[in-house]
Amino acid sequence: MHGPMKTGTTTVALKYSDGVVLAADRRVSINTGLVVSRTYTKIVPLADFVAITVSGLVADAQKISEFLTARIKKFELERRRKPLIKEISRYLSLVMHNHLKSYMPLITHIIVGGVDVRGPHIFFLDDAGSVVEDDFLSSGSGSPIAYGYLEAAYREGMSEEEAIRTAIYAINSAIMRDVATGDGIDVVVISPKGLRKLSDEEVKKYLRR
Amino acid sequence: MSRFGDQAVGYDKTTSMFSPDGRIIQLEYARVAMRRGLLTIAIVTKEAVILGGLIPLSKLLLPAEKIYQIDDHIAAAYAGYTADGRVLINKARDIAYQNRLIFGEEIDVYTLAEELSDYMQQYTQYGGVRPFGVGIFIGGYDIYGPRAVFVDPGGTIFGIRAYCVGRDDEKVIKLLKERYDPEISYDDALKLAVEGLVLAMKEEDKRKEKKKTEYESGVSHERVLIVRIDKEGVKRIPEDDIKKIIESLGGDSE
Repeated sequence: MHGPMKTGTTTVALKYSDGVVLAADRRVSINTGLVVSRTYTKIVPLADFVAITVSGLVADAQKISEFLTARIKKFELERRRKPLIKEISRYLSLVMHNHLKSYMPLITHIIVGGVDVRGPHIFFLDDAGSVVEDDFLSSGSGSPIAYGYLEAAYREGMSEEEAIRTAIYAINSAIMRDVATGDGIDVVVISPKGLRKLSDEEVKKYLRR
Repeated sequence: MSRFGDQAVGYDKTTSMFSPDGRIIQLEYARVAMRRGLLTIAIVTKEAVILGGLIPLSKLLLPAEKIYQIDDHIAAAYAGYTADGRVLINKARDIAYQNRLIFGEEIDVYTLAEELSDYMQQYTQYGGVRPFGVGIFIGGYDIYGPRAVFVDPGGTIFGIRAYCVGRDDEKVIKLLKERYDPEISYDDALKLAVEGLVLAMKEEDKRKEKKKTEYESGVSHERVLIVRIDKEGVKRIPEDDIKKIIESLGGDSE
């Protein structure tokens, strides 16, 4: 075989006036340059108020998504409230750090985004366990390209529509210029009202404009 | 013979055995130990939790701590066997710190109580140990606002509005029942807490039992410790304030 599957990937997350937008491409490839999947979803909703974007080793990302979803359910039952986005991020960072220090790192970069009682938040986590909060973030092999666009286009207090367009354009730039990024765009919007995944038609409309 | 009658003979020797009528008699003894402790009281208002208690006062000994800070936003006080209480305070601090380590956030008051009660419950189900001889009040200000919880020696949790445990608690509970109202203002609640503690001191004085020991007797503001836990954190109520309230009650402070 040709080594483990990696997403390659470009994912972006950004905050807008009252929520967050997450976007990612759909390509999964392996080292030799083979595209393994062209329909893989890299944005995983963990609950109706939080989702993660994944990049890196697909296997690790899947396990993290499954176990975080279950952990959030348990948290809600134990504490009779939803966890804060910060609490989820800090918990995951501890897990990633412990794995690294036991020489079994989870080789993924993850962006946790969602809305809690304190408002919209996005956190970036790497496989060493660092946690970084910011207004906009990107991960994956195409992130330098996405960052180039976001640096110029992002501003605070954007409307939902502006935020979605910015995220889609950032991913699209990476699709154009990064070999491991491509095959369509997934977009998830999380607002205080809940979590919504955009249809392909909606995404296309933004690209056409 | 057991103090619970012939039927319970032998069943009061361990917590790991039920009596035929379905009780754990060692636990009932533990509750007696708890209620021998000096009165501890907690009142929840819309803006803050009031946590208070009586301490023994002696010319020869330094004053006891009685109320302990657990985290920035949580304090705890216990009634009963002091040495057991200290262990629980350390445990509570450890639980609060673990939460900061894992989630990077302050622990919820109720979650702290649940984890502490899990620990206390273990001492009612295994042989070779005795339960904790204390009831512990946990008061704090978390994401839900001001909240207080009482955990009894068996590990049962009670979310509370106003409650007290310790010597003469029956009389003070009666006072709280008459006077507590969920809409009570902070000032009235503080006054009520002081009044409850003063009542306990007066009852104690009536029995004259303290006279026999090195401890001072009578009503004194120096024996009253109260903290307020609100959005800003845990704050001790100054001695002078307590003194003024006791004087306004018509009681002789000192």
